Amino acid sequence: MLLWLVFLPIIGGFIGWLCHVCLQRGVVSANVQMRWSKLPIIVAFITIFLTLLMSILLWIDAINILNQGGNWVKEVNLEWIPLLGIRFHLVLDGLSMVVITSTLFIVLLTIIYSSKESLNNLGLFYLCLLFMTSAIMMLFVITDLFLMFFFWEAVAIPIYFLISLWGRRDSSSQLRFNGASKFLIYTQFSSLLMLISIVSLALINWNLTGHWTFDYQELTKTPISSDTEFLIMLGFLAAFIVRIPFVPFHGWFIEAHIESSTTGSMMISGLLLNTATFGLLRFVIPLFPNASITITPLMLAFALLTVVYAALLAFNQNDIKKLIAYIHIALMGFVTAIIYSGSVLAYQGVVIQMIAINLAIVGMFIISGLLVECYSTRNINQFVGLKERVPYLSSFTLYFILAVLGIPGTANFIANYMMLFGSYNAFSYYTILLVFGLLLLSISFIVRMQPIFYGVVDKGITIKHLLSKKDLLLLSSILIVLIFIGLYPQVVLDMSYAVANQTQQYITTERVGE
Amino acid sequence: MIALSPIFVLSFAIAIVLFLLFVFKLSTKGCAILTVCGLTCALICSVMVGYKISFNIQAITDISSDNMQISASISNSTKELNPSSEKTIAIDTVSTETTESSPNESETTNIDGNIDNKNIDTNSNSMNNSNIDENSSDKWKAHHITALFTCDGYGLLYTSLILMISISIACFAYRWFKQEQNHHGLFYLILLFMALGGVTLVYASHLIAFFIGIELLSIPFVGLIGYQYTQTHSLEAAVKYMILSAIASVFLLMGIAFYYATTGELTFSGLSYQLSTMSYPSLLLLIGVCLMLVGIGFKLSLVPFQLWLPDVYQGAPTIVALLLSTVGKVAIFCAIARLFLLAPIVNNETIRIILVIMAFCSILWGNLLALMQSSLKRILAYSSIAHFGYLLTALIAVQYQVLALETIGVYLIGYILANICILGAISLDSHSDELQDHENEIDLSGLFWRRPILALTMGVGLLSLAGTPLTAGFVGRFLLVLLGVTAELWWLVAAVVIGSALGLYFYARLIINLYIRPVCRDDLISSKSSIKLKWTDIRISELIIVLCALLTMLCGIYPKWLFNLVSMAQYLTT
Repeated sequence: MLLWLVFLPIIGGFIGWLCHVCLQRGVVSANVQMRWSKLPIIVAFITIFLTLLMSILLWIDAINILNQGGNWVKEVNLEWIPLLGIRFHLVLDGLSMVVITSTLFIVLLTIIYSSKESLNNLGLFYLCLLFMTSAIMMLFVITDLFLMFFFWEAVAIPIYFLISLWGRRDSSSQLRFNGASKFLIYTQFSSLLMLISIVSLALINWNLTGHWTFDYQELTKTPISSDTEFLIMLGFLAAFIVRIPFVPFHGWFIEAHIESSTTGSMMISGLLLNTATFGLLRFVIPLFPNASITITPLMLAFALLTVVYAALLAFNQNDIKKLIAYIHIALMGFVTAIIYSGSVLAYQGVVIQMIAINLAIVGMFIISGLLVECYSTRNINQFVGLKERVPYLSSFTLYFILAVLGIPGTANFIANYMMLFGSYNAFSYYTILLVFGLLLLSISFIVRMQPIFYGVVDKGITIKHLLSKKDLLLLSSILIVLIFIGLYPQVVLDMSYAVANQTQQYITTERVGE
Repeated sequence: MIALSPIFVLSFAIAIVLFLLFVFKLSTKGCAILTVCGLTCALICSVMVGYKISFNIQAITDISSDNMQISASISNSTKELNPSSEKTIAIDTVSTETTESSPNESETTNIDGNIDNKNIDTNSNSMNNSNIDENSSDKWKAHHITALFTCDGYGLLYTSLILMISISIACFAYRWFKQEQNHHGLFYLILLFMALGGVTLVYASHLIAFFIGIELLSIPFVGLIGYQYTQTHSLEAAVKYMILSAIASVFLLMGIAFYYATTGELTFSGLSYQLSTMSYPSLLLLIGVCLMLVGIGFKLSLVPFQLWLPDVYQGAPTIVALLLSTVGKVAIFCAIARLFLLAPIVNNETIRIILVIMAFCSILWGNLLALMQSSLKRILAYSSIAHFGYLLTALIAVQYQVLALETIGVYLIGYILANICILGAISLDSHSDELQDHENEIDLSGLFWRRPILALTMGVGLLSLAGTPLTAGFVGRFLLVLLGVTAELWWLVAAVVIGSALGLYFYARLIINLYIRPVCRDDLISSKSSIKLKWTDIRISELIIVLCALLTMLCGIYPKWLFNLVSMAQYLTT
């Protein structure tokens, strides 16, 4: 079941691609080709839908077991490279369940949205999309560090192609290539540093125990001197910080968003960044609890810098996608700061926040795509009189702005509340500073977005631009999910409690030990 | 004597081709078929012998693993892992071997049917043999054949690789010459000579055999590079290669002479004994090693001696560039790896530092200069410099025997496959009667919309060279970092990291270039719908590169077989 869950998307992607190729090569009449040209979309949609159903089934199963007080974990353990003790070891627990479901949901939305962008070579496009989905889901369940690195890099390739081949239409291929390769080089460089760390960790373990293993559950038991631990952790952090992205290294994120289409932005924001925060929770803190405590002040300072810097820059953005990207960076900085707080409550908040931010930001990107469609520009100053021009869109926009900022009733509110509440115990002054940072963020976002609702529209050219039913459905489905989690977060909390508790154990035992 | 069969078969094939060529004026097609037959026979021999030998070696090493004394404790631990999965190793490698060689076999329709049966029969026979009595199979042990040659699994693995490359190149060349009416039998003759040189080199365990092998490998190259002398830059490249290669050979010979002067030995094993008994190396010996390094550096194009490579690549026909970058380098590298493994030259601090500097500079130089090139062949030349810089790391860390051998094997196989994918694709897209092969960025842009299969395989090859996941290059890169960290060569690890980041940039640019839809001719293409592919267009050559691309992917996704294949190929220690 777990293997199917992870591999189904990529199998679907290949089927879609083959369909597309056969269609182009085998079928002669142009008429039939036109009629079936949407086939890859349908295949992709069905695949993701099935996967989502499967994950929901797993979820139900998990709830049943959790209600009986059991510990719900699904495992697959296969051999991969026996010579070096690398095993294909997947563990699906509550935390990964939550993130995987949200990932699948976002991919489903992306596929529906992408059907309106006329792209060339649909088959390869959906192969990239589904391959990326598979790789990201694999990242969420893998426990072998080598394979974690493998998929960490594998994720980057489809994104590279999404940006450079199917990126923004109105920019030249050279610009798109620059944006995409900037992303790829940032990723490659930082992740090779992580590879060095992984290898040294395995080597230390091998020196002590005499057998190779890359399984992080076994490597957590490796005793390391604190200096080495610190150095090794820096390698891991290099990879994660670049992908979060923290402020000095956020260049790729902005450029990737500018150069990619709306679909690409949705995939990058919705899927990619989660892997970094998840990696911090799953790998860095359990593997290096001691060093994590040492580096906490530095990370907190950087996180605060990220929040404030991104918020300040957001004041000055005219491009709507850039604006959203900066907001996302700020929010991710906030989440990272909380990860270092080390309280169960905050961790559970982080889990909810990871879903909520992604959904809200993906919603914002859909809206930006629709706005660009109506006004055919991305300059915020040109968006005037939204209410007159496009019915419904203005209310959706307002709702999503508020959701990103976290008003009560949305999932973001619950998450913010829990995170701040949890971290206040750990470091109270810093939390206050962080709240100010968030405040700055809200102000800048509202200041930038508010003018689009007002303004005088020329009566002569007012043609009401109607939203299609599909877009309405997309936006309202995100809205419903956000409100549902906001009103009844217990579903997610139950699932993630065990893992959050476990992670917190690592840090607290270190603290007590000191 | 049967262990030397690849060499004999090749010599025999050369004689036949020579005879037919001059007596009956054989056409290009006949020559191609004969060459492929000869190479395939040699390949079958080497695969069979190699399989039997390594099967026996497996049985021997786990009884007495203490003859690996030079290696650090790492080899012992990996050895301990091996026996547990010995059964699977044996079975798996058979299957990969046959899959790797099966397409080549299927081309030669003459002997097609028998091979598979034969292979299976002999395998089962040897299984029985080894089960019943291990002592009686003395014939299949790795052993020295006179003082000149060694026959062991290590050599036979690379022999089979070299032969496979030669076979695929013979096929590519046939396609390349297709539009010309003239007879091109001579090309195949030179190709056979070169293959013979490569095989001799891999077998060599004596410095004279080593030297003869290198010469037999490089002299045919002069002919091959200048073969299509009507193309631009062709003669320039040939002359350049000839002069530099001769100088390098002289340096090498001088180094060998110094060796002999100090130790009085020319066999690898004798050298190893002499060097290990010597308390500290004399100055004469150091100079000898340095002179040899100059010669080897020229042949492998490591950094202070690398300037000829891009020009030669550009001037040579694409298939010859492919030969240069695969056979020409792999054979020499294997021979040197054997020399270094047996004779612990690297233990000397001075030599070690020189090697580290060479590797470091090669990686950076190759990657940095490749950034500014626009011709694909030049880019590949620079990338080949960088890749042999990476491989030199494995040579420096040779005291971790098992890991180093594994790294060399996996990395080389990935490198060979990727190069066949890329250069093979270019050569299939061009013809011998044009002034230049289609290798500029402009020629290649939008290749996907003209020839999707070539573009896809080329993309896979480039990704593999860049070391991205799901390709064999990634596994090689990972092993390299593992080895570097194990041997604590931090400078080289840093160079690998920087080099891969830089390398990604130009590889990625090439890949994107392949898939960009040609803008100006957009309407033309859609109206003509010229990209309709006919299945009849797919020939053996296409099959070969598609197979290489698939193997690259397979090795990246499930590298267990690759690892087992390489770990089976033990080399003879004493």
